[in-house]
Amino acid sequence: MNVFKKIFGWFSRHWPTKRRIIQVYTALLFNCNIKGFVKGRIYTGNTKYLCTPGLNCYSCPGAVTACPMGALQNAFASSATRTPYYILGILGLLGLMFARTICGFLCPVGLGQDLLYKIKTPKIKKSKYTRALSYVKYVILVVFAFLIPLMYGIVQSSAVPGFCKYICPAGTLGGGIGLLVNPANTDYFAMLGPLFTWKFALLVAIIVFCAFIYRPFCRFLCPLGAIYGFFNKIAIIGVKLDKQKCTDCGLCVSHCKMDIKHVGDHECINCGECISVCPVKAISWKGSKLFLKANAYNEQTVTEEKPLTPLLATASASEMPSENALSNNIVTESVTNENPSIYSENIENDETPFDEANVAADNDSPQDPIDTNAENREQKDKTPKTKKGRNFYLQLGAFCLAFVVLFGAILYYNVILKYDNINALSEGDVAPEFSLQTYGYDNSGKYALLDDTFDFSEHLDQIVVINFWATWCGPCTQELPDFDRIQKEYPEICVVAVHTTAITVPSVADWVVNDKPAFTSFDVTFLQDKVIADENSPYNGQTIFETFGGKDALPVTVIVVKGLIKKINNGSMPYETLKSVIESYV
Amino acid sequence: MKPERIKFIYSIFLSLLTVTVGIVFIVQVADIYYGGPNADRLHNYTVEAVKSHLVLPLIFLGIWILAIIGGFVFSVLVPSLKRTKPSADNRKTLDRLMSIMPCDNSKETKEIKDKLIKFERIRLIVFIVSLAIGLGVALFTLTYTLDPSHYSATEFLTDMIKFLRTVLVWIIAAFAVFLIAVFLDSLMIKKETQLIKEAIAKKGKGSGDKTIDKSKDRKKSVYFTTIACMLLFVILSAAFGASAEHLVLYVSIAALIVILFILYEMKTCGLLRGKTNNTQNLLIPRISVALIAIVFVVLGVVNGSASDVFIKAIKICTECIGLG
Repeated sequence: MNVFKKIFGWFSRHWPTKRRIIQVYTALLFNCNIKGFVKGRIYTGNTKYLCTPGLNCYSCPGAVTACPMGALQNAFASSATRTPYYILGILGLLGLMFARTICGFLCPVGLGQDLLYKIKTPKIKKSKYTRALSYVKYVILVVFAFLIPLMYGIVQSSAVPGFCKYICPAGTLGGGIGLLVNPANTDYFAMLGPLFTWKFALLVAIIVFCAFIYRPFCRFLCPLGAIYGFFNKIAIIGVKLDKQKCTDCGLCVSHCKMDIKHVGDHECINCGECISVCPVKAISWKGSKLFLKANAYNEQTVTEEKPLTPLLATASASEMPSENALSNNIVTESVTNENPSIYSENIENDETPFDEANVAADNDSPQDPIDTNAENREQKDKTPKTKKGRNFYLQLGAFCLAFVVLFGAILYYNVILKYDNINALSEGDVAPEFSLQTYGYDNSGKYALLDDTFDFSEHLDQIVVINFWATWCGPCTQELPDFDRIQKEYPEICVVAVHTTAITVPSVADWVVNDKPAFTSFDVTFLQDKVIADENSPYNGQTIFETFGGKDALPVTVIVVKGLIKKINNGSMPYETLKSVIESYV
Repeated sequence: MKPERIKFIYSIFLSLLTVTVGIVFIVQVADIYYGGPNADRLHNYTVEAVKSHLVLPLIFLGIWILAIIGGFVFSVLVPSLKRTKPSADNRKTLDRLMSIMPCDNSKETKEIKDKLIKFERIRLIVFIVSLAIGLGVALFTLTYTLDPSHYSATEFLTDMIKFLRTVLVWIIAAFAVFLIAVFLDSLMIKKETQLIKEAIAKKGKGSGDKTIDKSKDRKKSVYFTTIACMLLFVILSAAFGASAEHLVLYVSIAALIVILFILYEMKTCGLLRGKTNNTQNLLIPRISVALIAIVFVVLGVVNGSASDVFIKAIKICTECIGLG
């Protein structure tokens, strides 16, 4: 009976806070395409025009929106042809609304780190050194998320998302492992190599660190947090400090597990845990007003001298208190009038005077994180019942709306939306006949999509290498010169590069002429994919890419020998591999 | 055995187990890649290889999960009160102590004051040196990254490895210097705090000595160090035969860094704001950012950058998820 009481007591003390519930809710909402995990496919619908506020890889089978970091890097990579207004505007709006409240409430990666931190291992507390290391994420933002994609985009017209490719653990876990565990994607294993080895090792290292350090990825590596940190001061939603009430005791900073120097600075994730710690209730949530005394913190006043406390004033040389007691004493002075009995005892024992608040905050207590400390809770009981009733109904309404939205989203993405049943070929099948339009120079000398077609049926006795690519796919454009080399070395085979059907701005022809003019002189035949419109064909309604086994990943290389599909390769195909395969069939 | 001792032993055990699980996973993955049948390490990842290498990590993972669950159950049955001691900001403590340190003209006080000035000078030198190194590395990284000749069309992998080896090494070195500077700074602060406490203990409190504080010198040193670093970098580059285009690039980046520093300094002094009171009017910046963001979103839809986001999001970025 005692055991049950203890268990029940633990659960009542450790009921999830509102912040935790919001984190879980948003993680579910942004990844509600459960069908994607089952089928091993990603969602390709229109909600992918939108971006999640936090880090959530769009290659994750469950993701229903795009990732802002991935979108930003690809936008920089395309900045030679058009300015990335859209993603910059989205980031501006998100930063203005929430800033780093996104990190504290809306980011699935943050949720994962918070949960891992609960493992009962010894913890490495923050210090000046962790504060120094927190600037690493700005270096990552500038070098990997900005300069590498920008320079490769401008100089080589090649999309290289530096941060996503070399660092991001969300992509490795949600996208990579999320797809690989599905039996339908066993062909993806052939793509794994040094990059996967490095990223998997980095993912494991970050997960292990999360058990010892609070949010190591957020604090040291995340460039999205670095971007949102710039907006923290002007954000509409977040925590604010009332400088008039603040006694500069430093409890908020010392209690906070992030590397803040003051509440609301660029490292603050606006989790609100400092609100319950502040003894003078100087910290609160920002209101709905646009114009307010938000964060009236002024760096000029920080170094002003604080008035002496009675203890220091009267202490003799032998009674000089310790450093901890000094700071505690300054705290005590400011709150003596409110609760002298609690704090004076703790000073004598040289303990922090706010154990209750600290313990409650650490244990994710059932107290409302929006509320301030225990005194405020007492005061709350005295508030008019009408106000309490109104708050209750507002919260109930918000909860119901949120539930309806989540339930509706799960229903929509998993039940209402249907994946097209693709009739895909595999190795050993007979390749269907098809004809596609070619790219080339027209009568006026302009490089464009011509009316001329490439007819597969005319090459049935040859080895045909079909490479599916796209202008926005970095690995695709990097490997095409190898295919041209193969075509030149083996003129008896036929190498075609099929641009997959997708909206492109500018057009493929314009992109080739402006960004990769060398392609126009390739021996490789460039074709444009299309949707098969033949009711008698079993592949009616599918693209050639889908027919030949292509799913969601590019590039794909198909090798057809005398009408039979001999090999379907997902991912890049290095020159040596391609050559050895061709030689085995020649 | 006391519950606290059990919890301590458990926490050590769990931390070792956590690290072990991580190492086992990494070793197995490395074994698949480096120890596979193909000497060129291509296509070493097969379903069979992964399955056979997963057995050991999964066993460790299972033990780890059981240990975590066991720990949680124990903490439910035997709860303990957590104590979190706030760690005082030693710089603020030093500032406050300096404001009450004795300032009489006795020999002892003078000796203490001289020592304090010496420590403050060391702090300033450490700050200037670390700033100079940081700026130098930043300039080098930016100029290397912004140089188009480092991005070739055919040797992508080689370029990236060279880039990472060149730039990352310098960035790591700069952060190492930064951390050493933080360590030395806190060491000096600790010594100064101890000295002032001794002085107060012997002589009692005073009205403080503002001449010891070097924070204004620190601000001035930021300007001079920045400008000196930039000039030195440009001069050395010219001396080592950098081309005209490279020099223009270096000078542009150096000028940009200097301007940013000056703007930052003007902002902290309140010159840009034009106000000296404590309230901050956030209406104008918020409306400005909101308008610019909305205009950008609309422009993005019009110029096709919204389509870029969509196109990329509906196809798996194989590189992004480590498939490569």
